[in-house]
Amino acid sequence: MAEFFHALFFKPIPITGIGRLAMLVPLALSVSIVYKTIRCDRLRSIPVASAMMCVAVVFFMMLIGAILLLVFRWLA
Amino acid sequence: MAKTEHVERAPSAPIAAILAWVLPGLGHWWIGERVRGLIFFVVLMVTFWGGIAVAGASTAVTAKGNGAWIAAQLCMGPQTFAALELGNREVRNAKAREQVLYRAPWPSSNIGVVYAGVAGLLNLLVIIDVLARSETRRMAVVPRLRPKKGRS
Repeated sequence: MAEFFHALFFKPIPITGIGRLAMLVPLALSVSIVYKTIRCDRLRSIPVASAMMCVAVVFFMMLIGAILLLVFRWLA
Repeated sequence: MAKTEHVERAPSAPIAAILAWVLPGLGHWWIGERVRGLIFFVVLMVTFWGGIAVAGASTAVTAKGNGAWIAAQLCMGPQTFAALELGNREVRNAKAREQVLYRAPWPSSNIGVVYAGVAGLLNLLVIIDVLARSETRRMAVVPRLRPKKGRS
């Protein structure tokens, strides 16, 4: 057990390739859940509202990233 | 038949905020929003310690290496100090063994720092929310507790 925790918190996890983009999803999800838990009066509406907000955040960040990439290539 | 009296409690906003800083979600739990408190606790703990797992304790939470991110991470309360101590202990152990400390390569290092920092900033939102909620409840409860003047 001690070895597991040592490996978990002291040995970094190498993230390469598509994993770098995939790490955006859990962060967007946690931001969405916290934001919607604050905003929603009814607790039952939190899961759907959080999922929709997470999808919107990821989609628009991808869109902004794609636009910036196009601008970068156009300027280059 | 025995009469039962329900005494309403006006939650103190500063105490709720301090509890929310000490442990994410504890302030909401204390003012009676238990499910909300539980959600905040689980989500913020997973985000904060997930960031530390990705980058390693000595890289994700440091007082010097990450600029102003430490200010955001400190919003997570005493567990930030625990993570700092874990990282410092790892650095001391590496020095004692005369080993080079293995640091997380980019982008793991940045991802871990951002996860822990965003968790802290989200906890700041939670603290502000618990302040607002407890103040709203106080305003709803306190007038009913005060004796009304002009009536015998």
